[in-house]
Amino acid sequence: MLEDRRRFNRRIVVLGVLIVALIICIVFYDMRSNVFSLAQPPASYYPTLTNSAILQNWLPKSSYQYTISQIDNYLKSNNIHASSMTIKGSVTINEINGGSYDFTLLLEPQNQVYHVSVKISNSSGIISTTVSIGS
Amino acid sequence: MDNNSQPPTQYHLSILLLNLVIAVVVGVCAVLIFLTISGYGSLQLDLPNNVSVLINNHVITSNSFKMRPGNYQIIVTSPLINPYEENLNIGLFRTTVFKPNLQQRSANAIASSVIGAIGTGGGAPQPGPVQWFNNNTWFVGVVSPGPLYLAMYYDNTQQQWAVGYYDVAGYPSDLSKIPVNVATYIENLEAQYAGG
Repeated sequence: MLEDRRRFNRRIVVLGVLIVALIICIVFYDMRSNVFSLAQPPASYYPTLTNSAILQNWLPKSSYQYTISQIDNYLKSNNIHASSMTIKGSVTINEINGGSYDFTLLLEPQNQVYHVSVKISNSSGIISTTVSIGS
Repeated sequence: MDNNSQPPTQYHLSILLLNLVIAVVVGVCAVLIFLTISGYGSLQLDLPNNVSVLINNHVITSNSFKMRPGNYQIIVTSPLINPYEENLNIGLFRTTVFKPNLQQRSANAIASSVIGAIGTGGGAPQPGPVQWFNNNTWFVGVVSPGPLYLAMYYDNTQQQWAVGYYDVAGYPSDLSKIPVNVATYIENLEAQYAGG
């Protein structure tokens, strides 16, 4: 009887040690799994554009930077927090709107969709940009 | 009933159950250790030189590496191609070769990203018909309203596109400073449009 109790207690101790080892294994596995993990920044008025290359493919550098700043201002003035934003589909040239660059922006994690229109004018090489954002 | 008075069969049953739990935990630990050390797939990038690769927004500089199984967003960019985006699945112990069908960047996108617009009210430049020269490092197109002749070239030093000829204030407009074949093509175009 006493021997049974000792064997029982020994196994409880072994199980406790193994559970600690299991937790360490899980932590290590998780750490080694995150090499290319997608960063999940906290929600803010300045979310990262995950596929900025789509927009940079079309807009001059100054227009791109201004567009991003205007989107950030829009989010701030409307008190909208987001972790990231993604251009859905492609950038299209809207002839009806005087040849503006239009695209759809998806804000995550809320899954809110916004339509952005970028109108550029070029006066002797000096580029001016106007950005319209609507839901 | 205190513990000392428990019947032996109850202890035996508990020990048996504990043995089982211990075996399961040992098994899970072993699997996790194995996966931590060896649980990878591999990815090989078959891409042209001078492209930038982002995987889940991490800049990639190697052409071959190990990755954990799962789905990854991969974006390939370069001034010479349309941006390419794909969701890639990496399988455990499997090698995935990534060889996307990259397309030459359109003249519309190149012109848009450099000059942005035709004047103050002309909207996005959409040059056409487009003629490519010198291994696709130059192109010429006609933009409206105008017509205006636009020649652009890829500056290999700066690794970006630039205006070679555009007869608008603020841009180079000297045909003698661009390659002869490109200048000749523009002169022919001008003569063609002038002749109606």
